[in-house]
Amino acid sequence: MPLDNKIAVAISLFVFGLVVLFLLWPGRRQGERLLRRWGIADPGEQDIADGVRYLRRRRFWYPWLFLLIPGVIPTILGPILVGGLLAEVFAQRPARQARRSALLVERRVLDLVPWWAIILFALASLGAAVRLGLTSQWVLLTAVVVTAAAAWVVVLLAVRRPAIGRAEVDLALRTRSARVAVGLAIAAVASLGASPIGNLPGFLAAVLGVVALIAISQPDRHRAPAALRAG
Amino acid sequence: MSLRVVVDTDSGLSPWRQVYDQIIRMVISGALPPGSRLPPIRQLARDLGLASGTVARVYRELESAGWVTTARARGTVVAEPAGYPDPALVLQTAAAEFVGLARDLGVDLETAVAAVKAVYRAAD
Repeated sequence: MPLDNKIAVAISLFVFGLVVLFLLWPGRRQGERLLRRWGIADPGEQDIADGVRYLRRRRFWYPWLFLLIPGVIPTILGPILVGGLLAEVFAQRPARQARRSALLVERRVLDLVPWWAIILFALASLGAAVRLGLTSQWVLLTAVVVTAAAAWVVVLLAVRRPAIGRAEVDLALRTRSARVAVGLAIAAVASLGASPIGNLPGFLAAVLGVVALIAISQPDRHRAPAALRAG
Repeated sequence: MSLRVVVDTDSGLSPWRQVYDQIIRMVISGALPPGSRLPPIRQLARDLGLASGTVARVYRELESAGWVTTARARGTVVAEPAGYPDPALVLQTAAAEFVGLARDLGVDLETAVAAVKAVYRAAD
């Protein structure tokens, strides 16, 4: 794509991102809905404020990241994944308030993401990487490796970061970060691994990737994470 | 009893001591039964906004008092009750600290005992 076309697309996507940001800028209602969806039955005002801050710290980045889609981020799912990554990086800052709490329970990756999702993530990433390697598509192969690495870093940062608010809210938000990152990465590598346009296997892979994204990005309703059971 | 540990840096008590006392209470109450694994030092330090060395001190003091054991593979786990310190000794140590504070404040025996009784009643 010529440079002037790339700039035009980038500016269009940036404007699109600004519109999305304006329409989806989270308020109290969105924060409450997020927490209820992730298992907090009766969120208090402070919980809702934590939920709103969590959403805003992700969505703030979208317009700037949409700007990078032509040439730098090769998938429409990339900005959401990178937004989550940036939010988790900034969430690593140590707590500053005088009163801090923690659960006396070890946190592990499997408390946030189920094993089947991790296996699916590994298989999708490996499958896409092998296919792109065999067909010498090195740029897309690099994109797959970077996407998989970014998702895994989000998961590790979600396990590692200091606590936010109540233990139950904290665990719900950690779980959401990790599961959405893994789901997005599976959908992204599935569409990068085989072009979905004019190619039935590629189209099917992309559809399965989206199905996996929807399945993994759902809260686990029948199993409370170990840390929550202990708390 | 919840497994939540709270540190208040404005309380006047050193953070390591706050964590240490809360873990002992959890062990005594049974909230942390023998064999329970404590979180890694770095996780607890990050969550509580403390230095790793502060939490390491808590675990070291707990281990030297017999409340927990540390093994490379299993991490830090709550010890079997046989390894716990004698409850009378724990009480005596706490009482000694309280008496030291009361003397520093210039409080007489009756006032100090009244303060203990008031806290007992409030906790019931």
